[in-house]
Order: sequence, then structure tokens, then C-alpha cells
Amino acid sequence: MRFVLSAFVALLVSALTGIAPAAAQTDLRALINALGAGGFPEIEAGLRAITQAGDSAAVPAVTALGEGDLYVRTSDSQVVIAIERARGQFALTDAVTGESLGEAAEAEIERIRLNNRVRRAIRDTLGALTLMSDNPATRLAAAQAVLRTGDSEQIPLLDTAIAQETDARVLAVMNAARAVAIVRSDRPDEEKIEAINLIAERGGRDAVSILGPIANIEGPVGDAASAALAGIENTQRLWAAGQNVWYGLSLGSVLLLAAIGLAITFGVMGVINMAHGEMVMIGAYTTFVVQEIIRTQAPWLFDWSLAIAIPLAFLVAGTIGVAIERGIIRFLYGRPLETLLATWGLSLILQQAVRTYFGPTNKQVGNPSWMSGSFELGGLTIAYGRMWIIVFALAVFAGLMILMRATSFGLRMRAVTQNRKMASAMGIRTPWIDAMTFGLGSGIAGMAGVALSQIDNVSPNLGQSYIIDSFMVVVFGGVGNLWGTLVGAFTLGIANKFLEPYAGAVLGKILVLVLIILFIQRRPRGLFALKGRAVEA
Amino acid sequence: MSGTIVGRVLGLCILVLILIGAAALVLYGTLPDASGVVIDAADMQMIGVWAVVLVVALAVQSSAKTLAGQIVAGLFIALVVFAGAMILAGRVIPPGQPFHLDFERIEAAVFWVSAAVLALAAIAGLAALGGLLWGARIGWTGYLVVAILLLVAVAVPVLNLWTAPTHPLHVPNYAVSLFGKYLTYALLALSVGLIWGYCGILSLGHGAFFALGGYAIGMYLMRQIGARGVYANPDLPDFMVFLNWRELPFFWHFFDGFPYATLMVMAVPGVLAFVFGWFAFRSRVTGVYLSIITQALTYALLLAFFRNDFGFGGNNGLTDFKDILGFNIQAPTTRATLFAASAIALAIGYLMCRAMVSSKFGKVLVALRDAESRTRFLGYRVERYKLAVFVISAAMAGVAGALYVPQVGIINPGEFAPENSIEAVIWVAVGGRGTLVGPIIGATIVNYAKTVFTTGALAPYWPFVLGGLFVVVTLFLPKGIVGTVQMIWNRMRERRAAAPPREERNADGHGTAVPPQANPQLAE
Repeated sequence: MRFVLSAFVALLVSALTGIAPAAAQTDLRALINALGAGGFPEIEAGLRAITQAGDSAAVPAVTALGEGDLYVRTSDSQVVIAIERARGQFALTDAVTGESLGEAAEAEIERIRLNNRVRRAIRDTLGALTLMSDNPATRLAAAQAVLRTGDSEQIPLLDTAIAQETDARVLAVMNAARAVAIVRSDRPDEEKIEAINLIAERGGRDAVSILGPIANIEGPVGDAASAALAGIENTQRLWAAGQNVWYGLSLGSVLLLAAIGLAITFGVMGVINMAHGEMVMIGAYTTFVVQEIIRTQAPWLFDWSLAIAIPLAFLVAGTIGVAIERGIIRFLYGRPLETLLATWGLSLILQQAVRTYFGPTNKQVGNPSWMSGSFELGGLTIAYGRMWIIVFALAVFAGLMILMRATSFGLRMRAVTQNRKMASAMGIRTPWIDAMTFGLGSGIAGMAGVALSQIDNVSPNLGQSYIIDSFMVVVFGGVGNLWGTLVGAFTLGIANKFLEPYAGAVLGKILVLVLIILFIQRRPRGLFALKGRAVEA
Repeated sequence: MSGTIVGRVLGLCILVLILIGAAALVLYGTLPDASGVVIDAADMQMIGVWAVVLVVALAVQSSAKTLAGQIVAGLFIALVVFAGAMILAGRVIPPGQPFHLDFERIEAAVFWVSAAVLALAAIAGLAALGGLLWGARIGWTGYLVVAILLLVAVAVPVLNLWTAPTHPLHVPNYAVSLFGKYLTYALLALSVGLIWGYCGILSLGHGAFFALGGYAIGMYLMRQIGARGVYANPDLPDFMVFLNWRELPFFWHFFDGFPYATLMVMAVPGVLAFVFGWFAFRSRVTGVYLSIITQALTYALLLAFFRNDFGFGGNNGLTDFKDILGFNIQAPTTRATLFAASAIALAIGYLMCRAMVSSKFGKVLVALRDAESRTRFLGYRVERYKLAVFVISAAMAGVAGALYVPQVGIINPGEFAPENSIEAVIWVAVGGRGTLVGPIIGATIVNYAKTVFTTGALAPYWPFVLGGLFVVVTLFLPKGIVGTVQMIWNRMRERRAAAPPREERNADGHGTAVPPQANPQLAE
């Protein structure tokens, strides 16, 4: 492994530096040969000299030194890289050019010995050398390494590197590294304060750990550091609050997805559907089945699995919803408590059916590549999965709004809700509308299931964990009002996430429940109550 | 009303005092005083709980209209004042000062005061029950139910203890516990049936009151273990030792005494129901909304009791009980006694409900079930009736839980699961809503079916059966077994009498949607 690694580094660097001028090569050879010439202090001095020369062609040799693969050939005191091929037989390569130099027995070469001081020097040298690499990624990594160590001896090197740096991102890191190095050096105070300001501008957790010890120093540097530290902590607190808002939005979007179907069946139709959570669960299982089929039949479609699952889940859950409405609920209109019980029974049956068919264990639902990973936005870490779920929730909400407001089906639906008899007299087939509305609500729950399958365990109990929360959202937002559901979901999500740090996850949830119970006392009809006579009917 | 004003002023003063105390606690950590009085966080918690109870007491007092109500409320306030004095003497006044009481003294005082309160409540309850029953129409079904329950209370223990195992009528030990469990479920169902069938309050959180009663008696049973636990710690239950707790939390105090625990069995669910109902009914949260927030209530309690730092054993709950009142809890005689106690409690509960629903109070309940607004317009304070029946029902559920726990030997947070509460509702629906025998029959049948199903190879199919029951009963048997039998019976009688058939019509399609009795005089 070690061999492969060092060979790779050698290859990489030699490829990069293959066209280096011959003159530089001879200089470098002298420097590297000096490594084999004496004891530990001499090696350290040699490394320093290599660092100052700043030629990245020295990287393979220094890497090999660090790994104990650098030897001195006793015949001509040339420093070579030697890898043990067989017992006592070494393959030699040139430390500068990487050319093969044939084989040698153990007696012909002598290993250059290391101690911890030398190892540290090797690490610093490597960090500094790679600062000059032609590959921006290598330079970035090297700059970050210097940023971590903050070695003041590398300031001149950094200066050279900064002077020839073209990549803005790398330049920023290098500047930060230089600032850190300056703060830790014995340079004049003004320069240090300037550097502190630079670090503070950069911010982040690293800045806190760099400035923390300095803030305790007496004098202007310490004051500047404490001021900078206070500033950074303030920004961090703001970012943490922002992150909490983000988490809250994310939770809110999940709640919205789970509750929005309920807002249709409960809010618009007035039907208590305790099996709503099971519709979500069925949607999640539809995703599972779709992914299973894709895995065995067409693995290249995997990134599209959710796009396929969403309409399917809508259809499956919607069909089951229509069947429930036609089979049970239509006999129970006007008897909400009975509806509650019957649909609860139904939820038991559906859960057990899924448990019997798919088994009681959690099912593995994979994330497509575009759902995994995260990115940084300022101080926020935003996971793609969560972001897409928020987008999806809002899209579903918008789609539903359009359906309700701008289509003839939505018009009929609202007509039936407002005045069933009159709607019927106008020629609307009210039973059909009932069934379709219920199917719509259930179908949306199914789509929510697709989204939830990405962030939650897909098990027969999936729906149960959302049902009480969903009801809370709908009741809190105001029954019969989709905007209320939107506001309610995000309010509860954010409230939950802001309570969590103080009260813990479970206690936070309890607090939210208690707050909702108290809120319902104040406003029994929710945040956005419908007004007028229809309310009491 | 002077009572109201006094109550409000007192409540306000106490609130201000507590706020000042809390602020001082936050600012200084403790409340130091020249006399050495130190109030720490534990004291503050205790005082907080005490203050809540006091406020409840004052609320009761201010809303009590009748003489009896005033007396009860007065006693309640006296108790709270007693509790306050005990906190003051035990925790706030340091040892060595005048009026300090050490903990043993306080414990003894609490023991005897609880015993006295229980005795007083029993006498008053019996007297009230007697008074109610004197005027009430129990009906032959009522007497039959009580007679059967009393017979069962005597016969099953006798057949279990004094017949040989080979005797054909012998009742094995497991059956005693099993049927004892059914009886406690029946009492829970009765409490649900009382509020749902007669008052239209569908509580999906009655399991919470059941579990709270169970936890109260479970705490007593835990304290009885003493040093016989795994860690052999005489002062702390095992789970507290396990969690490295140093001393008993204040809410575990006094549970060594049976009278206190028994009092708590009824008081804790009662007070919770009072506080919850006070808010809910006053702001006219009705129907489905009420159902959902009761479900949220039990869900919140479920989450809370699952936490270790809540102080009730967390996930594992309370178990490994040894004694009850000094008798081995595993012994057949104890089990038989518990069985008899459950049957008698059920009989008393039944009689109480019977007396309530056939009194004027019960008529008002039915009226507000069928037409709440109309009842309100007629001048009845609907929320007070609801609150009263809700509290009584909760206390009854608490008693059921307290009888359940010693018979099954464990209480854990799972009892708070919303599913349990809904199952209790289905017992009532199966048996028959708007009747009192129905819940008893329903609970027994459904639970027997559950036992049969879940102990055999059919176990995976039980949820199908239970779920199917919900659907079938609501669709095809809206009156339950008892209601359907009654309906058929009535129809046959009417046909025999050749009377014109009465048309069934809901007096008012107002939400609660309880099918009215075809013939109210014949209800049961």
C-alpha cells in the first residue's frame, strides 16, 4: 500500500514537473544528496534548504524520506528511493527524476534515519513544497495544512506562493494561513493586528481556536483578538440561529407534506381520516417497490426512481383512498366520531397488511445521487435531500392551490364543501366529488410518503409517527384553510427546532404539544379560522 | 361572590410570591435568609406543584354552588393548606428552629391525614351513593349486573382457593389474574362509556388516566420492595440507584403509605382531568377537536414517561413488585383478593354511574350530549356538567389502573400509548354506547377475543380482527351489542303490543351524532 501510494505521488509529481529545467535539477540533486550526509540536525537543515528552494520536484524524495524509503547508496553517496522487492533485494529509483536505477542488495545501501523532529520538519516541508504545485487542488490542500499548523517559519514561502497564486480560492486560504502564521510569529503588533482582522473576517470555528489563546495576551494584540473573537462569536450565533431556522423549515416541510393531504380530507371535507398516516406509509412502500424493481431490472434508472415513484404513489394511495371513501366513509358522513373510529380500525388493518406482506423490519430505500450530499451556504450546511424536500413540499402546496383555485374540479370541490345541496342542484355529482376529493387527499399523502422515505425509516409504523403531528398542524393552522396549514407547519417546525436546544428533543416536542393544547383553548378554530355561519354547521 | 374574590386575591398573592421566589432562585441560586432558611431548586419544584394544586382548589371552591360542593372544596383547600404547612415545616424551616418537623413526623402526619380523608371520602361517597340510589331507578338490569358482579367476586376466589385443581369447577390461578384484568378493563370501559355514551365526550386519552392510577399504585408497590431490590438499597428504588440518583425525588415521598397512594390514585387523574377539562370545556372545544387534543395529551405523557429523568423508571416503568399491604403479591390468596376487589370496584362504579345517569344530573348530561347549545340556552352551565363527569370518569379510570397494576405486575409508559385509549373506546362501541352494561360486556368480549387470538398461532391476525371490529361496529352495529339486543327486544314487544312503530330520529343532528335511544324509558 505504502509503495503504491508513494509511487503514485512520484508519478503525479514527475508528470507535473517533467519539463523542469535541468539546471534546477542539479541544484535539487545537491540539496537532496545533502540529506544523506549527516545526522538529524543536518537533515533538518537540508529540509529547510529544500523548503527555501521551493521546488516541487523534491516532493517525491521528501515523501519517501517520511516513509523511510530514502536510502544512501554507499558506492557514490547518492540519495535514492529504494523499495524492498524481495527479501534483501531493493529496487532503486532516482530521488529527483524517478528513473529506475536497477536493483541493489541490502548491504549496498543505507537507510536515512528519522526522529520525531525530522518527521515534523518533513511534514512542514511537504506542506510548503506543495504550495507551489501546479495543481490548484494540491495547493489548496497544502495551504490548508499550513493554516492548521500556523508555522511562522513558512511566512516567506507563503509570500512567494501568494505572489504567484492565481486561483482566488487558494489565495484566500493562503492569505489566511499567512495571517495565522504572522499572529503566531514575533512580528510587530501592527502587522499582527492586521492579521487578526483578516482571520476574523474569515470567521468560522478555526478562527475561534486560533484567536482563543491570543485573546488572553495583554496589550493591543490581545485586545484586538478578543474584539475579533467577540465579533466571530456573534456571527456564529447568528449563523446557528439561521441553521436552526433551516432545520425548522426542513421539519416544517415534512410536517406540511404529511399534513397537506389531511388538510384536504379533514380541513375541506371534514372527514377525520386516522388512516391518513397509513397512506403516507403506502407511498413510502411504493417507493421501496419501485426501487426494488429498478435495482433488479434497470439499475441505470436509479436516479429517476423518485420521479417514477411520485406519480405511482399518488395513484396507489389515491386509489386506496377512493376505495375507502366509497366503501366506508360515505356511510358515515355527519358522524365524525364514528368516522374517526372506523378509519382508525382501517389504519390497523392496513398496517398489519403491510407488516404481513413486507415484514415488520425497516426497508432500505436508497437516496438517488442528487438527493445525497450537502453544500455550504455562508455558515449554513444545507443537505440536498432536505432542500429538495422543502422544494417538493412547496411545489405540492402550489400545485394544490392551483388545483383548488383554477380548475373546474377545484371549483366543484369548493362548491360541494360550501353548500352540498345547492351544488347538487346545479348538477354537480356530489358523491363523485367526495370520492375524488378524498382520493386527492390520500394521493397527496402517498406523495408525501415518497419524500419521507428519503429521510425516515420505511416501516409499517411510519405513518403513525406523523398522524398526531399532522392533526396538530391542521388544527393549529385552522381547519379548512390551506394557507393556515402552510403557516402552521412551518411555525411548528421552527418552534420545535428552537425549543430543542433548550429542552431536548422529547421535552421540546412535549412543550410544543402543550403549547398547542393551550393555543386551541384560546383559538379553538385555529390560527386562520373561517368566519361566518358555515363554521358552526 | 365573596368566595370568588377571596380565591382570586389569594391566587394572585401566591402567584406573585412564586414569581418572586423563582426570580430570586434564578438570580442567586438559593434563597438565603438571616434565619438560615434556604430554598433550593427541589423546594421550588415542590412549591410549584403545591401552588398548582392550590389554584385548582381555589377554582373548585369558587365554582362550587351547592353546600356540599362548598364543603368538599373547603376540605380540599384545608388539605392544600396542610400540605403547604408540611412543606414549610419540613423543607423551609431548618432543623433546630421552632416549628421544624423532621421527615418521619411529616410522613406519619401525611399517612394519617390521607387515611382520614379516604375514610371521610368513603363515608361521604357511600352516603351520597345511598342518597342517590334511594331516589334512583336502578331497574332490574342494574340489580342483575350488581348481583352477577358480587357473585363473581365471591365465587371465583372460592372456586380458585378451596377446590382441588382436579375439581371440574376449579378456577386456575392464571384465569383469576386474567379475568381480574378484564374486570379492570371493564371499569376503564365503564368510565369511557359514561362520558362518551351519556355526555358525548369522546376521550381518546382515557388510557392516560388509567396509567396514572397505575403509576400511583406502582409507586406504592415500588416503595414496598424496600431493600429487597437488586441493589438492596432501602431508600431508593432500583432504577434510581441505576441512574445514580442520590435521594428520592419529592414526588415520591409518602408513597410508602397505602392511604396516601390510594388517595393519589384518584387525585392525580382527577386533578389532571380537572385542569385539562377546565381549559377545554370552558373554551368550548368539542367533538373531534376534543378527541384529538385528548390524544395529544396522552401522547405527550407517553413521551414524558419514557424519559429516564422524569423519575418514573423511564422505558422499563415500575415492576418487580413484592408486597401489597404486607401480603405477597404473587400468592394465590392475594390474587384472589385483588380479583374480588376489582369485581366489587366495578360493581360500585356501575352503581355510581347508574345513580348518576338516572338522576337529574344524568338527564342534563344526555341533554347536552344531544343538543349542547340548546341545553346551554336553557340556562345550564354546560361546561360544569362536563367537567364534573369528566373528573369522575378520570378518577374511575385511575382506580381501574390501580387495580390493574398489582394483577399484571408491571406498569410502563406503553400504557400511555394512544392505541390503548382508542382500544378502550372500541370496547364501549362493541358493547353498546349509551348503556352502562355495554362497556362491561364489550371490554370482556373484546379482551377475551384478544387473549384467544394473541396467545395462539393466530397472533398476526389480531390487528385485522381488531381493525375489522372498528369498521364493522361503526358501520353495522352503531348501537353495539347491548343496544342492538335492546332494539330487537323493543321491536318484539312493540309488535306484540301492536303499537304503531316509533320513528327514530336524532333530535338534533348536532355533531356528537349519538343515535338516541329508541325508547328512553327502556334504556337498560
